[in-house]
Amino acid sequence: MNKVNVIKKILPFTLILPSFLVMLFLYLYPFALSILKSFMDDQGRFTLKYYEEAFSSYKQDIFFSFWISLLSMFVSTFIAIILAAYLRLSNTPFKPIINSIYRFPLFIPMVVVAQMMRTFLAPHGLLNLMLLQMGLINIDYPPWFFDWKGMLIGFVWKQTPFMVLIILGGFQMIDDSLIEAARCVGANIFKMLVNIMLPLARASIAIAMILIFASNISTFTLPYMLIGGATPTTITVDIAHRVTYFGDWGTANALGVVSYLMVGAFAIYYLREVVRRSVYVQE
Amino acid sequence: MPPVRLVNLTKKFKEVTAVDHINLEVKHGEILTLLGPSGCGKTTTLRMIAGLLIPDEGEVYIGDTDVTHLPPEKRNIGMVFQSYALWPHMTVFDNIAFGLKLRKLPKSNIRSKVKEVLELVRLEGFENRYPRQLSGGQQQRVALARALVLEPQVLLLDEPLSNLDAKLREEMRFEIRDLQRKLSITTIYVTHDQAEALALSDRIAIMNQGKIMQVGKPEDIYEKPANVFVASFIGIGNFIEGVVEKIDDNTALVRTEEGLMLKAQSINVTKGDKVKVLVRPSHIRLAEGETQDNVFEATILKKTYLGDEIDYRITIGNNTLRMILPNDINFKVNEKIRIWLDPKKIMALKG
Amino acid sequence: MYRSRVLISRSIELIALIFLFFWIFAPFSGLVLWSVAIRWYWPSYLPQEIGLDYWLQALGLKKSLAIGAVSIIDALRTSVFIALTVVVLAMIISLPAGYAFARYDIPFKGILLFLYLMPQAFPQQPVFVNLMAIFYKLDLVGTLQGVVLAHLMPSLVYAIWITTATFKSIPPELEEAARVSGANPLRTFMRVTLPLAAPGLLASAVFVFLYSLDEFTGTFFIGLPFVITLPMLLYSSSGYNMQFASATAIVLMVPSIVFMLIIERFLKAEYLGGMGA
Repeated sequence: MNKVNVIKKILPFTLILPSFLVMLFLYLYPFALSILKSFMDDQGRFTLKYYEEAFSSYKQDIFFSFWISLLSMFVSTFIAIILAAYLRLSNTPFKPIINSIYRFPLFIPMVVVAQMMRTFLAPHGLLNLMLLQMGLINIDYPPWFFDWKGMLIGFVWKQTPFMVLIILGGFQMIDDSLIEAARCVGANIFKMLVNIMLPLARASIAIAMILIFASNISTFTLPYMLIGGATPTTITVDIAHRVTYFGDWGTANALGVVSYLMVGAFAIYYLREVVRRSVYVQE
Repeated sequence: MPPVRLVNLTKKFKEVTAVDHINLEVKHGEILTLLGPSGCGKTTTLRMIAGLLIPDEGEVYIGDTDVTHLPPEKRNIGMVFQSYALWPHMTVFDNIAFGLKLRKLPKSNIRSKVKEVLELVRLEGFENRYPRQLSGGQQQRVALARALVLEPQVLLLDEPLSNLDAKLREEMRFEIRDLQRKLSITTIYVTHDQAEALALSDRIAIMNQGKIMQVGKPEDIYEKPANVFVASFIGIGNFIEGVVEKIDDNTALVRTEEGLMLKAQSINVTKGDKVKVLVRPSHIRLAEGETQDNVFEATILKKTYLGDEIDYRITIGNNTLRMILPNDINFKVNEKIRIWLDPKKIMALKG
Repeated sequence: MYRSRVLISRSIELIALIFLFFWIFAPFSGLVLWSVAIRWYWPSYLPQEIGLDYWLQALGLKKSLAIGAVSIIDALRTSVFIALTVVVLAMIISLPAGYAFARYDIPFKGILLFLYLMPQAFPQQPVFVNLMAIFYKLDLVGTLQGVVLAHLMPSLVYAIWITTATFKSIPPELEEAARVSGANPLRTFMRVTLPLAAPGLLASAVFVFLYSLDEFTGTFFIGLPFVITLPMLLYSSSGYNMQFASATAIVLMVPSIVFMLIIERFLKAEYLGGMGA
């Protein structure tokens, strides 16, 4: 009898063990290294010189990474809320069409998105061709998009559908009667969105914002293919350069830790929101 | 000008006609109940009056305005939902005040109006509670307050009591009726519970399969149902089938299969019609004195003790009827008795 | 009067729909045009000369003038091989783990599940960079094995979360009923649980497959210069051969689009809303 009980107790752990080991060696170990190595010089002594280097050489890029990720996230959120509200409330024959089209970017890998943006946003690319046909730009000086503008377009194109999915999920959980009751006391669509739908879907919106901000800051593929080494660029590109051209793991890791902190601050907020959500009663 | 008028109102959902060309006028200050089984179209009709559904044919008039295509936020109605639909992230005060804020009323006005309506529904002091902190009955009263505070032209209630337990339901019936009387607000009430409808309403409109079967005061519907559906939906009804042999003014002579002859009230019935004669338990009495019309031999089949009364099942010929008598006389099963069916009360009805 | 209101709002919707259509598909059409453009000079609206030349080069059917060009077929083979290996490994690892999380009370379950979320929630690149350093010492850089391991780690996120949710959605009563009828735990799992979980597990496998196929950052640091997956090929050709790169991009899109049509059924908004990541 005792043997069976022991097996029963150990079983769950054995089932989880392989996955835990994989995460331990392939994630936690290098993750810990990334933090430790940012503080250790070649002799293994504690030092802050890599952070000094990071902030002196890459201050502009750190700031750039932060604000482009934030801006793109806010633009995506704004569009996603409107689209999600439309999908939640609309009944017209156009809705199913819009419902299937908007998801397209979800299934396009980031590397393909990067290539798309390279062709689309190139000086002689499709966007400039269209702007030229509309007479909005000068044929000899087409605008340059391989900077924050391209990043913004790329991020919004790729990330908005995912935000719509999450926020729409939050909106779906709002019972129809709550929306109808608002209309019956005189609320138009806009007032209803602001006073009823957004507050009730607050948790979903927060989660979407955090996930997309983290995703934006972490992305390597898009800035590497779009901006490359031009200035300003993102932390991720700088990390790659530091490692491949200088062999300087210290500074690269310092930059990595900076990005952790930026995401971490948001992640803590996310955790708090999730806790609040489980306490939060919804009809 | 009637406060609410429905003209030829129709709504179809794919193949099904939920509401079928109905016409109805609601009187000022009355409670009109739409009563019927599920699927009869009563809620669909209410939602078209509210503006939550657009009819396929016909018009809805509120006052002298054709509101058929007007969205609910532009109609002056108050609606109480079956699930109460209180916004969980707002306090009781905010729930009630929301509509007033939308109308841009000054803060002090809002505060006093909310206070007033909370007193009306006997929830003074509940301003800062959240819906999740309230019982079902309290939530219902907040929903009512929220609808009333806007002083709407019409109050619409969609089965507001179905989610309450039986005892509370009975109490709230009277509260709603008393409130409505106090305010004299035109009210349309939807329910499938016929006891509720009888207790609350000034008039009842019985619906079945998208059509209105009969509109009238509770006592008229109960005593003079227009057809078998209405008769069987409201109250307890026994039916004896037969064919009309003779008509004399409003009285019909009906012959049953076994040859029993019944004298019954009738409206719109002609000789030769196949009818079902409605016999309510209250129409069955013990026969006294000499032979009269409508006296029959009956056998006690079953009896159920109800306290002050006894519920008997009796057979007359091939028909089984339910009879309720006070408990001072106690018949035994299989006992034979003579009963009298009041010809002024029992009704011959078609289909 | 209300008819004109409806007409106006429908027109606005139609305009929005058209704008959305252009926004979503214009970048894509750029890819298509480039892949068939033999010559395309500014400011012509369409390529001056189109042809399948670059597609043939990309598919390895025609000799490419570019130096060191790898054909798409080879890169595709590498990508698919790696992806399938990752799927097999991920499913073997995540199936028992997902079942355990769904059925058993595990101490620190919340923390563990968060741990499995971290690779996707936190910046991945620094982790790959350090993993690369670790793999240097293990001679795993530039090898298929190294890339497989690099893909395995973050894909466990999808695998474990989806399998956990899948198993959770199967009422334990169904398993209990089988046990009561005499089946041992393994038999119950094979005959009752697994068939019911199949759709969710399939979704999980598909997610992992697509993730590995499309993975860029880990492969960049750990796979180069010897492991050339489709994303690597895309990146390297993008610098000098737009047509080739565009063709590669389109090929890379195909599996995702195909599976999109299949997964569409599983990806319901309510499901995601309740999951709350």
